[in-house]
Formats: sequence, C-alpha cells, structure tokens
Amino acid sequence: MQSAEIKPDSCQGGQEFSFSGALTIELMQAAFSKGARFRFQVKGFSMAPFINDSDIVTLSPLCLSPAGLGKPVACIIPVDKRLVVHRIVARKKNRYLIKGDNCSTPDCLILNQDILGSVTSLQRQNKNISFGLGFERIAIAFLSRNGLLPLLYSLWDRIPKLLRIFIKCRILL
Amino acid sequence: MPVEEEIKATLDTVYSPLEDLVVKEVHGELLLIPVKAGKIDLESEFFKISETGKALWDKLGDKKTLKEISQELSLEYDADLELIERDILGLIEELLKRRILVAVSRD
Repeated sequence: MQSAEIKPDSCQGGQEFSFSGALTIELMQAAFSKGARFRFQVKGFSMAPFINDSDIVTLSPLCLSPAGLGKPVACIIPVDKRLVVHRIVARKKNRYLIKGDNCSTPDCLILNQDILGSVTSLQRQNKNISFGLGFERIAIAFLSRNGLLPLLYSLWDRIPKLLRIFIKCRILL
Repeated sequence: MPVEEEIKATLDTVYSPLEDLVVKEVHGELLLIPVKAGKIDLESEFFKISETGKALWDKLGDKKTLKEISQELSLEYDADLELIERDILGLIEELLKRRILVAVSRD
C-alpha cells in the first residue's frame, strides 16, 4: 500500500472530475433524500436566455419547493432517462408538460415522480439572477407553450441597446 | 492571518463519518460530498478516495480503533503494519481537517 494511493484527492467541481448525467441524478436524489438543496452547473442553451450554458443553478427538493406552472425543474425524460432542466409549461391532471424555453417543441408529458427538484436560484458569472423564477414565470410558460418566445426575442433584438438596459433594470428592480 | 489548527489522529481512537455526507462509489473510487449549510454543491470542493482508501472507509463504520483497522488491512493486503498505520493516520487527519470525520466513543 503506497502513501499516495490512500490520500484523498480534493477536487474543485468540474475541473478534475466529470459528472455524468446518471451520476448527477444519483447525487441529486441523495441530496434531496437528506432534505438538502443541490447546486451544479448546467450545460447547453435549451433554456436560453433565462438559463444559459454554464449558469449555476440551485435546486430544491419538491417538499421545499413544489412543482408548479412556469417553474424550471430538473427532471428525467422517461423515454431515454436523460436529465434536463426545463420549464413546466402546462399541467394536465397529475402530468406536467416540460419544454426548454429555447426549444421549438415540448419534451413530453411527465409524472410528478419524474421531477427531481425545482430551480430556486440561479447564478451567472457570480451574480444572482432572479428573472424567470418569480411570478413572471407563468407568463413565460404561456409564451413558451404557444411558441411566442422566439417572436419576442426577435422584437427584443430590434430595441436599441440602451432602452433594453433600461427595461431590464425596471423589470429586475 | 488565520492560523490553521493542527489536527492529530491517534491509533487508539474510533472515527466515524459525519451523517451529513453523500458517499457514492464511482469506478471503484469513493466520492465524498459534504452537505454544507443544507446544500450539496458540486461547484465547491468534494473529495475522492482511491480503491485502497475505500477499504479503510468501509471499516470506519464498524466502530474499530485505527489500530484494529490497520491490523486488519495489514493482513488483507499482506503489507507492512507500520506503513499502513502511517498512511491511515495521514488520510484520517486529512478527513478530520475537512470535517468529514469525527472522533466518537466506542459505545
């Protein structure tokens, strides 16, 4: 037994150890079974612009933050067991329709048991972002479900930059 | 400037993992992720210990002293007892520093 073999390696998230989707699901479930929240970095642009690639999200177990219309949630897509962080855009009895804000079509209807936890905070470049997690989430869900978000994005791009900053400040304050 | 507290492990002590800890085996290694302030943070520090360290970890739950664990591992791995004791003390001190283990009574 060599000394080097028994010493623990200290790792900073994402630098020396890569978490697969399956492992992330397991760790998330382990955290939630202890009633703890779970913080990790998301990959991809399916929720842009509200959740971007490399944003850091904190998920809470459903007992602390129940699933609801407009909430971004971490869930397992039943068909391929893929982990996604997408928004609930509709609720039909005990099923939820999940969709990425930047996707043209919804993922599928999922059951409550497929939802692992809901996004309760979001950090981008060390800054807390709250837009998209408050009550406006219901409007976002409506726009997303009806395919109106891309139209809004294109309109948004036409607004002069200074006016956009002003509008953002008015919304966030 | 803060002075780092020196933590010493002893062979006569029983150590146990904290309850607020998520332990996952990945490809023979152990991932140890502490729950801090009610949160597991993959963007913060976590730890992995090798397959050999895992043999020690598995015995920590048995409420045995490090001396007893060292003797068992020495027999299992047919390795020098002194070397095992030194390695184990190093690992335990590291885990104590990171607040992953605590000293407990045998009862």
